[in-house]
Amino acid sequence: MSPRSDEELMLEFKRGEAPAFAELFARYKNPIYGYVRRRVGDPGRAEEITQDVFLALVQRRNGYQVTASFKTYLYRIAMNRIVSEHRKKKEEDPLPAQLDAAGGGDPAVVQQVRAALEQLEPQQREIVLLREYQGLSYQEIAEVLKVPIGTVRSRLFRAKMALRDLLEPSGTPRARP
Amino acid sequence: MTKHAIEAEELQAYLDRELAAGREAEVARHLGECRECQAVLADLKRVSETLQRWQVGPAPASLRPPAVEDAEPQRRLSWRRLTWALAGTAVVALVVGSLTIPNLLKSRMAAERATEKRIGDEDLVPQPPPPPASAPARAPAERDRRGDLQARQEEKFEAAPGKEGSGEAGGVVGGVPGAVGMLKDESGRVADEAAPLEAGGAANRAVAKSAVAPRMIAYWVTMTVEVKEFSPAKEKLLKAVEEAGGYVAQASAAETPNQPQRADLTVRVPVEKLPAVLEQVRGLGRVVHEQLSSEEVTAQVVDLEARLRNSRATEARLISVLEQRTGKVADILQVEREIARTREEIERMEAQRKNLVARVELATVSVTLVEEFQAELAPAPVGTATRLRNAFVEGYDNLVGLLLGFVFFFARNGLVLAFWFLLLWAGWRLVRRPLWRLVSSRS
Repeated sequence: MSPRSDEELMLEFKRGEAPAFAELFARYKNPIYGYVRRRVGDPGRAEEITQDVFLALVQRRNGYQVTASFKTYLYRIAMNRIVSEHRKKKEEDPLPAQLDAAGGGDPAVVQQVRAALEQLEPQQREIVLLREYQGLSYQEIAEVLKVPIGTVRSRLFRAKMALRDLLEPSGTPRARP
Repeated sequence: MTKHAIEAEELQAYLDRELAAGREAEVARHLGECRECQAVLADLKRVSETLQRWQVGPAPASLRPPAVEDAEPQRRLSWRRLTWALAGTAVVALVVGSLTIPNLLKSRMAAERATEKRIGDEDLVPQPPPPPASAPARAPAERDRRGDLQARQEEKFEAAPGKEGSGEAGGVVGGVPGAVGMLKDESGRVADEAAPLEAGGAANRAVAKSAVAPRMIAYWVTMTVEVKEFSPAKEKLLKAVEEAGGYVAQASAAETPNQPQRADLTVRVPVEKLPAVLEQVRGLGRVVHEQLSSEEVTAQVVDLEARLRNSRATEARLISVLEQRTGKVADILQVEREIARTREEIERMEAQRKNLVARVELATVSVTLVEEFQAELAPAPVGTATRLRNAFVEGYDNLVGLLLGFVFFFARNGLVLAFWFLLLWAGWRLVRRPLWRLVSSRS
């Protein structure tokens, strides 16, 4: 028996079946928390925002329509919630200055990566985060950000090239692009 | 400069497996030949690997799914929400009020005008007074007394010029025959009991009791009566007029095929018989319209009588001068011409006075008799095609009426609607962004 899709679970939850929501929560709590955590410095606040995202999902369940994938619907809620958080604190959508060590990895490298991402344009950075860390397809990213898929492809390539220069300033000669 | 068969950004898409199958094969083929693109692809892979070294831990265990019952939208009454609700209500009330109040005011003014008109009409319609408890017992005596009174007043009216010169205005006016209900007897008491116009007696008695001078009132009535049988009803009407001592002043009739018959009759009836005649007319059929009007001619008669007395006195003096014959022939001729002129004036005024008296004595009743219309069956049933055509015509008329209604509505209210639309639109432009922020923050 194939697992039920996200959309099927959401429709079941809309009909009043609470276990369907528990299944969705189990599927997406880590990805959404990770997405929020990379954007919000305070882990406690990141947890609250993640909780708010799922709370909004519950509150909007009656208005849910299967017009797009559930994943993009959820990420769009999360993205708007993060933007709202930064706006409330009058911040320019930065990356967190300090990160916890729970994720592991070399702190120096992590800081280097964070600093490199910080220097990208916000639109490029958002695409990199959604692609590299959340694993969204180009089509899904286009739906979340409401931009054409070609724009996603070109911005991602330019962002990766910029990151190459930022992360490997003394690398091999760049003939392309 | 190297010429590449693929776009550079396709290398990232190739890495992410986001290319179509055919295009992916082409890129793979190009990568097998192009070292430069191989280097770029390697760079992209390395960047991705470096990015993956920034990992965050899993969601904390304290992160629990929100309870569904706790997630219901909370409808807290905040000042902001209350303010918006009040503002919205006020705007709606203003819109509705601006559209409805002018029409309400118009309707109210029209209703007031109609009420005033109705009250005015009701004042003119004589209401039958409640019969006094002793009315049957007193009726014969009153009739006798009324007859005596009229006779005495008529004697006064026909009295000699010397008596007219007594200057008793009340006697002259009261002496008008038919100035019924307004007469004074010799003791000066208002003879209201003698009012023959019983239908209008209440109003006349009220006036008579309150007024010092007696009044002379001319009545005329307009009626439209729908009757079932035209000819018998017309005969009854003529007979009633004749029995009342009246006459037909004017009559006209019209008869058109497939149309109800119609007759317009103007009759004059003694004012004391007016209530009875009206009652008989009402009994002919259904009264569609009835209106009673009156005109007080007391002042005209008094003025006329005064002028008449003066002219008669002048005539008497001229006759006296002529009888002495002490002047020249030319003077005598001048006096005779003056006597002739004065006599002419006297006769003209007497004619006017008789006309006025006749108007008071004889009420004018204009009756329109209309035969009750009875629709006849169509000679042949209407065909389906005709009915269908009629239905289309009616539908077209309804559509045109509807469209015209819309046009008139917008012509009448378009400016007001445009004003409120612009106001609401401007308000929405002002509050849209803050509202959106509020909604976003809550979500």
